[in-house]
Amino acid sequence: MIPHPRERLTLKRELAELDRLTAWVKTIEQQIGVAPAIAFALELCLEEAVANIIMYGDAGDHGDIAVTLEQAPSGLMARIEDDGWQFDPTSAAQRVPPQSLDDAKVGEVGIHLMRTFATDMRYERKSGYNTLTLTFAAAAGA
Amino acid sequence: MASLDMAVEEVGSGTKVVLRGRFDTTGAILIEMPFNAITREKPAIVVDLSAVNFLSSYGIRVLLVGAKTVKNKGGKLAILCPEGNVAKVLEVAGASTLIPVFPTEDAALAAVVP
Repeated sequence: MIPHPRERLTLKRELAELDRLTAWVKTIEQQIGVAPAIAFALELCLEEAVANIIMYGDAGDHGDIAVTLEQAPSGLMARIEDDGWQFDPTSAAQRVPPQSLDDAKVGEVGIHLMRTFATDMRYERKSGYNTLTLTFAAAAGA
Repeated sequence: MASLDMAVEEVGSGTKVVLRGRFDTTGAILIEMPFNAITREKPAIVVDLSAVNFLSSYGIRVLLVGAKTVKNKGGKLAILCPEGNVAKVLEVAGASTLIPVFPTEDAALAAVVP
């Protein structure tokens, strides 16, 4: 079990912050002993979600990005909150796999990876904040 | 500090680009320019991901752009990647249907060298 059942990290809207996110997640994984497949899925989905906010979420006058990790009955739960433009990755169109290199677009790959590697993905827009909640159940991909 | 290293080796008439570490967003940004330069110069490239332990969509983007560059000048690019999480990301992203992926170096080199 997590010594502190809920951990929280605040990140600036800069790509260099992704390295701090990775270091933070890895420390928690080691503390609580996460299975390698879950650890990979968690790191991948957090990277995709946070990179997406930093690269496309309008840095403008917006604040930091908050990432929370906690152990829930349903599994390991990650929550990403930001006050940037409203963006719901769960409602993005299903990706059509490209048939040739000429057709290949990379924009939707991150959301497709999150959908595949997370057990569950939920979005909420409340009081000007985007909240994306990702769950990683022990059985998924273990 | 991003932790992705890139080394280039000439193997016969092919070029092997060996990546080591995390091919995440910051790692991909770090190697993007030198990697693109190689894809513009070399006609037969194997990208060795055997020592890569993480791959995200930005890394896939770098691989796809590189493969496109090589293809447009009549060359070939293949990926060397054993089974595992990185191979799964390539497959889920659909990259492995666009860039041939091989589990051994011999097979990857044979696929790109004319």
